[in-house]
Amino acid sequence: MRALHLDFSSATPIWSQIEEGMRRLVASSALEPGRPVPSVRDLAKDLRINPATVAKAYQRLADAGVFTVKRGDGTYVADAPPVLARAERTKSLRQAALGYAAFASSIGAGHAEAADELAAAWRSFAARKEKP
Amino acid sequence: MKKLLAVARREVIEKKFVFAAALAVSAIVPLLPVLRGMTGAGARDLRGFLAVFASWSFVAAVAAALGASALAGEIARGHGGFYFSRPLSSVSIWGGKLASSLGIALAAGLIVAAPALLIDRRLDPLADLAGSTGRGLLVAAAAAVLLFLASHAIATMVRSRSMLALGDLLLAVAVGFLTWDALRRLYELWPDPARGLWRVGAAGAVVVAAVLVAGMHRGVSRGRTDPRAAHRGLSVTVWSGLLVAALVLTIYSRWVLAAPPSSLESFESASPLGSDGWVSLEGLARGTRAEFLYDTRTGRSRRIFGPPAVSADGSTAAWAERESGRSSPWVVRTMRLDRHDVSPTETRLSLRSPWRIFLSDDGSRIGSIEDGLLSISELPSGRSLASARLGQASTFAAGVFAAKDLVRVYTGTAVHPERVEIFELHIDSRDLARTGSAASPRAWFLGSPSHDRFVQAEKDPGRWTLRDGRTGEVIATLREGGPLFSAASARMSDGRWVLLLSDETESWLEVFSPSGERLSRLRIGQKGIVLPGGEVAQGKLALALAPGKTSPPGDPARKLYVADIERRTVERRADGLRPIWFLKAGGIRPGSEATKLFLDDSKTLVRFDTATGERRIVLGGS
Amino acid sequence: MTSSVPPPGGPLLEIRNLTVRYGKATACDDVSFQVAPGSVYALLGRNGAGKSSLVRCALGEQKADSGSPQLFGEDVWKHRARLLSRVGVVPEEPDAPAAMTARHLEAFCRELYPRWDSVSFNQRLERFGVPQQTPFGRLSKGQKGQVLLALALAPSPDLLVLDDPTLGLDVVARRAFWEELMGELADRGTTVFLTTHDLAAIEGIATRVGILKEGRLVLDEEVETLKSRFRKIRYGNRITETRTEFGTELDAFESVRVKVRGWGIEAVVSNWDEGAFETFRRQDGVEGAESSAMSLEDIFFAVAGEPRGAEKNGGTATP
Repeated sequence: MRALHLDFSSATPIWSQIEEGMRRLVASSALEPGRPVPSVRDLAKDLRINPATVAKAYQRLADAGVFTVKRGDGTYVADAPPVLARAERTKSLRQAALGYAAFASSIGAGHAEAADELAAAWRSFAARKEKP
Repeated sequence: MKKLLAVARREVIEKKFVFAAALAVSAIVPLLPVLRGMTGAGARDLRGFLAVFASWSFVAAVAAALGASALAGEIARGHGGFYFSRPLSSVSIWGGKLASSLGIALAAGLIVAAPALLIDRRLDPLADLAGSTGRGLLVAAAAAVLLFLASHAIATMVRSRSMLALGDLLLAVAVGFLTWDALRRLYELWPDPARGLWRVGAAGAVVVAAVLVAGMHRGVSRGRTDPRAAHRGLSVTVWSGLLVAALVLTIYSRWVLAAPPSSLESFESASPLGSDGWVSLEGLARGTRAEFLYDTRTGRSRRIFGPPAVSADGSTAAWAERESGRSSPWVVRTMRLDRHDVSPTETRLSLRSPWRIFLSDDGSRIGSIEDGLLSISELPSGRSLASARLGQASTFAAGVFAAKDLVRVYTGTAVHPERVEIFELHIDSRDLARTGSAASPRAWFLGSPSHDRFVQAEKDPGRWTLRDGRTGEVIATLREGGPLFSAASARMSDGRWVLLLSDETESWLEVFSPSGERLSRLRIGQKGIVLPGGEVAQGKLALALAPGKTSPPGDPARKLYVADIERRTVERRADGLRPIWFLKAGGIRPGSEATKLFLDDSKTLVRFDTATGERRIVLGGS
Repeated sequence: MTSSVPPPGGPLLEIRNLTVRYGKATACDDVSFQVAPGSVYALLGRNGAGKSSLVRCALGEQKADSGSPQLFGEDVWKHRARLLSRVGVVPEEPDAPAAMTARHLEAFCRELYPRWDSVSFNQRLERFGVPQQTPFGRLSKGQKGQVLLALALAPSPDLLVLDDPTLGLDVVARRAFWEELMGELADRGTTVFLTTHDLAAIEGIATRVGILKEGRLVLDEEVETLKSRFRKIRYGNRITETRTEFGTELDAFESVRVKVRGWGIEAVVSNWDEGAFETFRRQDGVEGAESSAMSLEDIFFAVAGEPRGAEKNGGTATP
């Protein structure tokens, strides 16, 4: 599994960073559908963070349909990517876009530069998906 | 309890090394006699002594060391958290420490004593020291408890490094002073001082132990890991407890000393002081020996702490008391019995013992005999008038004022215990002269008011003589013959002498003229103890007859008679009564108040008029 | 055991108006906070800030001058012995008796707790590699801490209290200690109340922090919100022709600390938000303004790093 990087000095909450990181790993197929994800205990020990934080991220991912929890067995990456209602999807995207735009603006990046980076990120997902 | 035991067990495991040390010491006990080449009884004695000495020392040292370190030390070093951060109650913590420390100390003591015990099968010195081996163990256990607790308290106070320790010191001094002050007086008044002290000591040890345990509990439960708070809790409890105990003891001591005559458990002695109704009463009051001057007419009384002397006219009583401590001198106090005010006057006279003081007939002079030195002083000033050395250590001495300026002394000597030497001192000229001697009396002797003659029971059984007061020479032999069941003497106000006698069959009295001629013999009744009373009217002598020596006062078999010397009759007047103690009293007026005082039982003083039969309880009774 | 059940959702530990004095010195001055179930509360503060006094009071080991702490909803001073059967404690000083081996210590403690777990105790010591037959006094500092953690976890506590548990431990021992704690959090979700100087280690563990400064609780907040509102702002401050006011450019923020450096000004603000920052950077004379997020250590340093009185702008970080 590709490493999950946490930035403790970031303003983004740790659970949110894990959630984002996991979504990224799933999106890039580093975590494949149907495969088990690391247990809360292991990931917490690994990252030296409060297991409750990991559990919170996993819970949100499960609620969002990214992970599925098999009772008494463990947590797995969902077989199919989550299908969100359109309105909900738009709302989520808008929220994330706002955050990204604000961040870009705060470090002095312009609209064009930010849009380029977004496109590059899409490309990298696509590239990873194609590789075995 | 389970947690207390867990703490105790943990403590024992940690302090195992004490047992190793005890084992090492115990090996020395049997080895030392061998090294010194001793065998048999000598070796056994040495072993016994060593075992007892070493084990007691070991118990004491271990208890004290653990008391200082086991709890106070840990808390002071900041290690109290090990216990207080766990679900252990304060009682479990200190209880476990206390129990384990005592167990360790006593077990170590037993280990030290074990070899001697195994070899000799007994520990004689322990039994000798404490009365019995069991008691020795008990005392050792009690001592270990106290040492542990005291050591814990002191360590807590010292190791908190707070100014409170100064307060502790002051309070310790205060408690010590209060205790000493309360005990010093009681100690002298207890009928058995050693036993009294032992009892107070045992009670004190229990109180101190209880207070220290309470202090330890409060210190531990209030202070927990904070040494100063622990110190505060301990000090507040210990000192308030000990102060209360010391105050209780002080109040008890005051209460005992303030006992009124009515608190006397029995009148072991009741004698007239003059003719007018004053008596001295003696007995046990509130657990102490007590003596009172008591006015039977008004109920006024004064507790005194030394035997009283009274002047022949009944106007003045004198006695010696000491203020404090066993080494302080006895100060002579006097009191006028013929005045309304009965507060005593302190003289400047001080003595080294309270006995052997005597007063002149009018109470204006006092004499004392101490270590062969006769001193005469003026009252109430205490100004010295004369003194003379009698020249020999006297084993027995009595003094009288034969006249206002003439003192006569009857004194025994260590060299000739069988004789009484007679001296006269002229106060004005300060001449001391030996005027005669007499054979030592069997018991006391009875003198005439002018002291020119006296009757005494001779050592020769059943022999009574009348002697010259100045020379001691025999004027007349009043009676001779075999031993008697009972005998006593009395003197009538007109100078006639009376012997009250009983043999194995009957009792009677014999009357003699002032110069010793036998005038009459009057039968009283059955055999019994005959006690003389006062002269209830001119020529009439009260006397009591008890059937046997064990007959208690109040025994209805005890009969009171009045013997009429002139009419030669003896009449029974009452049952159960006996006269107060007239044996050493002289100069009582016939028919005076003093002659009307009787004891009903040992606890009841009654006024009884033998003429009218009127009877009234004066003191005691129910 | 007769432990009463705390009100559902109520704090496991509640400190209310706690004041502790030593003579004239005040160790804790009117401190109030709560440790909620499931949380990991880190109480931070410089040496002498009053943390240890507070912990001792929280465990009923010491009497507060006022404000008795409540443990599981009950007065801990009064019911210490009963309440502590549900609490595991790792003290600041390894205070176990020096002569006792780990085995002795376990035998002793086992008697005291109703839910003692010998198996996990032994497994932990095995994981740590602590010899069971060596007297406590002869163990290394790290091993002592591990034994004490094992003793604190064995009673299956509802609340774990750690008073600067990794003080004086080397990096390896520290790491092992925190990992073990993480395992406990994952397995049992134990609520933790701890004090520490090891800020980096608890960065991801603590859910809430309190900062004690000279006896006063100057901060008590969820880590998440704390991190979102603290930011470091750097900017150049230039004189321009149109500028009329100086020193007021930060007025929109609450500044905890402002430092003038050679290249400009560095400020730590405690109420950061995007919009306000946009306005700020467009102010006349403010040049090259950029903001950066702060780690727990940075925030702690900003809030508690300097003695009182050295703060500029009089800004306080109390929410």
